[in-house]
Amino acid sequence: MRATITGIGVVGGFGCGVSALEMAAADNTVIPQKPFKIRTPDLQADISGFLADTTSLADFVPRKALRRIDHFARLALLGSYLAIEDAGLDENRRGRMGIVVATGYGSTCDTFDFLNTTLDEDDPCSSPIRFANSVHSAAAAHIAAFLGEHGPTLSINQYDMSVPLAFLAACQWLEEDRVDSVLVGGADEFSRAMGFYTQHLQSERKSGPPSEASVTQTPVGEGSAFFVLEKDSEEPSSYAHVDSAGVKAMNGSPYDMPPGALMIVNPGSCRTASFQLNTKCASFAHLYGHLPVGMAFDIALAAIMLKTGRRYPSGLAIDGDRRHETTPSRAVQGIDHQHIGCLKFGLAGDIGLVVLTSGQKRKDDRGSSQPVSE
Amino acid sequence: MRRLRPVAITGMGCLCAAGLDLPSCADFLFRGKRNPAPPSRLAVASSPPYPVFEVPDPFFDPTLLNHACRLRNSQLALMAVSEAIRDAGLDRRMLGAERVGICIGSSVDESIGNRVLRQSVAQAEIPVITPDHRFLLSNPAVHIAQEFELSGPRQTVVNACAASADAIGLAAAWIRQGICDAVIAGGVDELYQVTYNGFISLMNSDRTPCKPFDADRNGLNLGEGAAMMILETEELVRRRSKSPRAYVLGYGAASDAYHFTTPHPEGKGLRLAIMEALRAGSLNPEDMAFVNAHGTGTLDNDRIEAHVFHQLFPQAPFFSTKGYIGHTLGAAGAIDAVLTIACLEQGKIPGSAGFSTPDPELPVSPVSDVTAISGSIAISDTLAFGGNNSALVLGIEENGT
Repeated sequence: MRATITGIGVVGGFGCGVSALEMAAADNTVIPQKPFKIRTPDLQADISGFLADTTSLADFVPRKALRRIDHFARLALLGSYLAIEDAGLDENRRGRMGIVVATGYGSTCDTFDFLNTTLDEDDPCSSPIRFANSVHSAAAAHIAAFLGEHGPTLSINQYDMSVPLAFLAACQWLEEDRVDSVLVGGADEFSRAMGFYTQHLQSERKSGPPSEASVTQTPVGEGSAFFVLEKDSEEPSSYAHVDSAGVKAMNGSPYDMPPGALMIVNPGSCRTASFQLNTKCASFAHLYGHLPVGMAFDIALAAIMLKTGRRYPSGLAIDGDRRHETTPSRAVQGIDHQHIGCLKFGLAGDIGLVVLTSGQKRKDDRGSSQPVSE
Repeated sequence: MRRLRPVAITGMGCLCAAGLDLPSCADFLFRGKRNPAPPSRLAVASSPPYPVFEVPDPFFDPTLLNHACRLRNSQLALMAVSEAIRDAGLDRRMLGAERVGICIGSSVDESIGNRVLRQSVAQAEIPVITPDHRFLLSNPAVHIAQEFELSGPRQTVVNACAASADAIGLAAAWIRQGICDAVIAGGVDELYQVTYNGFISLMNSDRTPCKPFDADRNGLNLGEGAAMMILETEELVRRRSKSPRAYVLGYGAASDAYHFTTPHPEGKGLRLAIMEALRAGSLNPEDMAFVNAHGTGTLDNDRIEAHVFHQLFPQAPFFSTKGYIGHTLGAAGAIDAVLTIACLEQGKIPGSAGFSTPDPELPVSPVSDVTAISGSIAISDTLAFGGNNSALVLGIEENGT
């Protein structure tokens, strides 16, 4: 596998674009919004979340063209345009571009709306647009159509493992010369249903172990993080190289990580608390919220850190010997500055890992063989 | 696109309205009968109901499995996997000892779990399941991994109707790139109220048995089913002294970049996908013994395919399976792939059910009767919502001759 991240586009509760994410990471805080209230005999709660604003999509696409595009696809579209702009990748340099979209929930608002009309009202003539947008591949299709890209498109829905699998597929396409570049990323949207259940989950787990409680108390998030991947490039403007990307069962062979490398762990699963990690760990979910594709934001932060050399305070320390420590604002220090791993423990007992290497490190190692994938 | 190594297929399994295993499905096609009927498990508002192709009950044999499984979608998948594993001469111990991945295409997948979620939200009840549990309950790839204790990656591709053709193409890359020793690849979709009503809302469903490529075609009938294949590395095939049953010789995918629910009027994406699949196998259009068309019976799909076939495969006979088994959506690419291989093995293709009157606007028509074919390679294509187009080139000889 030879892939280089040459552009990043992010949108979330922290704002829009790489600089907004950097600013939030430096400030170490993002304030969640409270979008709606739930009142039932058994549950009374204000559902808070990190909500994303896609207004700036109008900078790239005429508003009129967005009329039939739902919020989920707009999130993915905005992330895509920002990544391409960040990479400075005009149509002439894109070559044949592939598109890979990871999502944990898909277009939940349209899906539930369509379910309401078809199941409650038993209406066989409900909105065809809502049905079309509820199909999980809608976001990738809209991206391809707006960009005019005829390369392969792929939508992956493996819940919390969707992002590392998307990176694996993107690197495979580059390796097999199917494409010259890949737009790969993850998107999930906030919906009443997901907020409702996250709130319930939090109220259930408040009495659980400290690390588990702090994980589940992260407000639900929405947004997208997209990347332009190109074949191995030494362009000085590039962020980092993708050394490996993969998913395997937790009971399989262990992953190899360079000693001392920083590991950004995406919480979201209580399994994190019971897994021994013999390396420095950090978490940044407090910046973007709890969502299945949260790992995509970790990869963005890892790439930014490798490019700029800056380091940001972790929101949750998960050291091997202090697994239950939850120390906000704990700066990450004393690490291997050349490698960063992004790790996700899956609900179904699998582990996803994407390892990035700085451009400088890759130059030093040129000629040596690297493990290409897990 | 450079030439890619063929990937061995050592076992296959299939169940759909035509039968509960691959041999019976293939035999059914050659008998020329079909049994569409009103849906028996869905509450439908339309009158009269639109016909569908359901998998006949009982199809599920829990005695084959170690774990309980109540979800129809996963039951379909597990039955097809069980057949494929038996066909490949593998057992649970062997699967556990290798790096075995799972790559499944589905359009329904987690939407099944949404039904329960939505019900609780609508009634503002304390949830009976969470989004986490929704995923665990409704993901066939997870169920297969748990049942057979597999250690490799598990992935669900949701590229709508092209999902399982893409899953097979991706799984072949996992084998070529050494990510897995073996991969269980294929697709599954059960009949589901949302897709049933969704296609009606799009006015793409036919109230009568579908008629792919016919002058009087008027839309599709939905179906359900699953098909799985076992892909293995050369090294594992050699170590097991197993003769592959067939090969994935090429895979291509391309986007129309045109419209969400309407194919490109000139079939641009489909042509690109087919050409990429042929290049991957260093093959030419004239090497194809036949084409297994997507052939849904909708006006646009069949028109686009007929024009592309006329340009690329003017001599190759083609047919559609949809008249026998309906459109199985996310499972369609995989079901067509295993049926394509079954046809190559038998040296013949079935007549295209529902086709009787050639459409004067189409430059080519499918075969209407069982037709003998010569050659060891064929191509199966799929078109999907969102303009996803995929093509698989399959052969029963490694060198494609």
